[in-house]
Amino acid sequence: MGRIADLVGARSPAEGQTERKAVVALVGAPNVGKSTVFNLLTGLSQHVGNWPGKTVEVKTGVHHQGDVELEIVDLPGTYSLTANSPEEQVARDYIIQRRPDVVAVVLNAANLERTLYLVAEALELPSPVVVALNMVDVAEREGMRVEPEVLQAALGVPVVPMVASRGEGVRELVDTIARLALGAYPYIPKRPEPGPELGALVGRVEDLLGEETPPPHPRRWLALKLLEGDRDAIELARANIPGDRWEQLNSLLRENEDAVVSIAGARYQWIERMVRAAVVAPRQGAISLTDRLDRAATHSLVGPAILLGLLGVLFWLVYRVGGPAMDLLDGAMGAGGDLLRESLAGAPPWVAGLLVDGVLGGVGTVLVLLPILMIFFLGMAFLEDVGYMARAAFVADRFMHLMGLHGKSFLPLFLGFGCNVPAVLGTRVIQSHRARLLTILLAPLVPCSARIVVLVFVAGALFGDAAPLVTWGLVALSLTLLAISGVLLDRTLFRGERPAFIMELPLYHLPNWRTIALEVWQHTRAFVARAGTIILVVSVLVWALADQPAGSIEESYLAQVGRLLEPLGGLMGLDWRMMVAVLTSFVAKENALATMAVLSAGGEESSLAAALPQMLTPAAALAFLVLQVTFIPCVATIGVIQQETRSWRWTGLALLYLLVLSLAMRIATYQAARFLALGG
Amino acid sequence: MLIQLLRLIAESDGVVATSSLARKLGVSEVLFRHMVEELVHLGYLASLTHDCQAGLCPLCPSRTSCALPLETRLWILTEKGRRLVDRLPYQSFGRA
Repeated sequence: MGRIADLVGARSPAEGQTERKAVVALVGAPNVGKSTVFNLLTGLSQHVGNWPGKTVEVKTGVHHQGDVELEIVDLPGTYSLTANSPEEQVARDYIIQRRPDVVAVVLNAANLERTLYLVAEALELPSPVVVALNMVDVAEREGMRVEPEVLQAALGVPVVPMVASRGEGVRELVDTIARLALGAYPYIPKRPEPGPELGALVGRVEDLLGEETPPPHPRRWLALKLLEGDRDAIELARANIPGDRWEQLNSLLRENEDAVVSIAGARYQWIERMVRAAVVAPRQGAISLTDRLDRAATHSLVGPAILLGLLGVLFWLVYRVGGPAMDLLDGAMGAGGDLLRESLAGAPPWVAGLLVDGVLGGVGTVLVLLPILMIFFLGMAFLEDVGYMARAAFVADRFMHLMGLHGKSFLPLFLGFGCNVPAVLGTRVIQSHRARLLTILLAPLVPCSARIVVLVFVAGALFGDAAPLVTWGLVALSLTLLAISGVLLDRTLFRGERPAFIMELPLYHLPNWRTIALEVWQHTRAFVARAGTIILVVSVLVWALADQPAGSIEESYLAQVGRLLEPLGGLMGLDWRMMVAVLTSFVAKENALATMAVLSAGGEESSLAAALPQMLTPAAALAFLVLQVTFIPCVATIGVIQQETRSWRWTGLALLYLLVLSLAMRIATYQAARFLALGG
Repeated sequence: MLIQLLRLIAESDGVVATSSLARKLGVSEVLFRHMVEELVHLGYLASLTHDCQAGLCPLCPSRTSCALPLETRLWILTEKGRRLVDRLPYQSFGRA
């Protein structure tokens, strides 16, 4: 037990008696109050130096306790002694090579699970351990009560409760350290014990190490470290034991390379036992509430129902709150257009046409959507902030798993609700080539926010009070198609494994309105930026092609292109204007609205919302909306599909599949709607 | 206990919540989180990150419209973890 047995004779200035010395190593994880304890013990007698060969700082100081002089060494903060970092290595080397008389491990009582691992490792080393159970006040404030006596009995080492920030428990700690150093304390530590098979394996390694175990390393500790794959331990053994025995040992270690999991597992099991024994009132409140809510939110049947219900409520709010605001904005935009046209009365007609019909008609129509978009993102940000979105993801993944999707497909597909581009890029987390291709093929079927905006606008203009139901139904249809496509592709083209994964569901909490507002602001800003760039350009282009060569839409270049598509459109009740809108949505989904607005300009109605019922029957509108959610993705998404698959063949296949699917769905919808007498 | 955790993940059908696994193992969620971190450190589990966190955003032409801020943490069994679980019937390290 080291130095205390070789007590150095020293003079105590006060009493002239012989003073005994002991070395105490202070270890602990970062932020457990270790430095506070050190400062309280050593005061002004501190000395700061570097560990030889390292840039890691080591502080030392002296404390006199009766006739014992304690040399306190404040080792770097560390969570374990596995030598993964210079700090851990210094702490470990010090305890092994200097063999302090006592190792005082400072623990955070409010986070015992995190800090007890260090104790588990310290108990494997020869120096006796005392536990300084700091921050008991913090633990109590958090609703936990740690019983030091019980923990002491469970650990088999002295435990001293402390509040170092108030100086409480320091005297008791010093008394205990001194008694332990003097051997006046029964020290019978209860170390983590491996199971019988692991124990036998450790024994075999110890046998192979034999008498050549390099001092001062304890043989059992070295055996454990070798089985944990510790590089320093391996080098030490290789350098010290004979070659043939090293070969045997190395072979045994290679055969049991996973033993590290069992060793660490034994330590966690030990920690669990300690915590279960000593912690009387674990934090229950928020966890229990979360558990209760999650019983429903993550239930295999109730969970999806809640998710669909919340989506329904969200769409209802979008129309109920955002609808009137959008109507107001629409009216203002119409009045602004009239004013602009009047103010441009003296200018050439094409100038007024360009600015009023092209720019204001296209971009203005898209900007009118701002209120509903903001309500939509407000709802999504709220659900995310209170912690529900993780549950939605959880429920959605079960749904995806049923259709045979790889576990890792979930994350990129979930991102697709924002935009399909990050969804395709996000497939990089999937190692399996086949699973990645499947996910890329399916990503465009996730209804992105731009498609939802178009859905909300058109459904609102054509279906009145039924609009929330129609929008909700179309999103559900899109996800159903995703599921069916997933099953079909999985059963035919892709047959891969479906590994499971674990997800951390955060605690539910009250919303932080600042965070939510920031989220809404960022999305709104991004949407306005799109309106001012890509949508503006397409609007002007559509206006120009609709105006040339004769100044009449019906004889324009655009009409000529649109009429080529009219036979196909006829199957779905869509005239050439709507087919052109579908085409321009290929650039960006919102362009469908901008195009329709430009092409409806000059009619009797002042806005697109008012003009849509004249342009589309309900059956045709349904067919158009089905096309919107299933049609080939925007050009940016196609670009990243090619970039990520590095194959025009796969890109072409993806587009062909989506094109066939969307046309088939659209024709079926239109014909079914006509059959149900929704107008032809 | 870590092996039990790996086995539970491998036997799960699709996504499983950390809270549910923690309950099955009889440990607190805090301790469970540390166990998961340990397995990630040892290479038996891998953490899945949001693609923006994975540094893909600079490549994304639509990064400003990436809608859902998903901060949920996910972990998946690695090949090394899968191999260990597959070997378990033939190699056991005791109750740990």
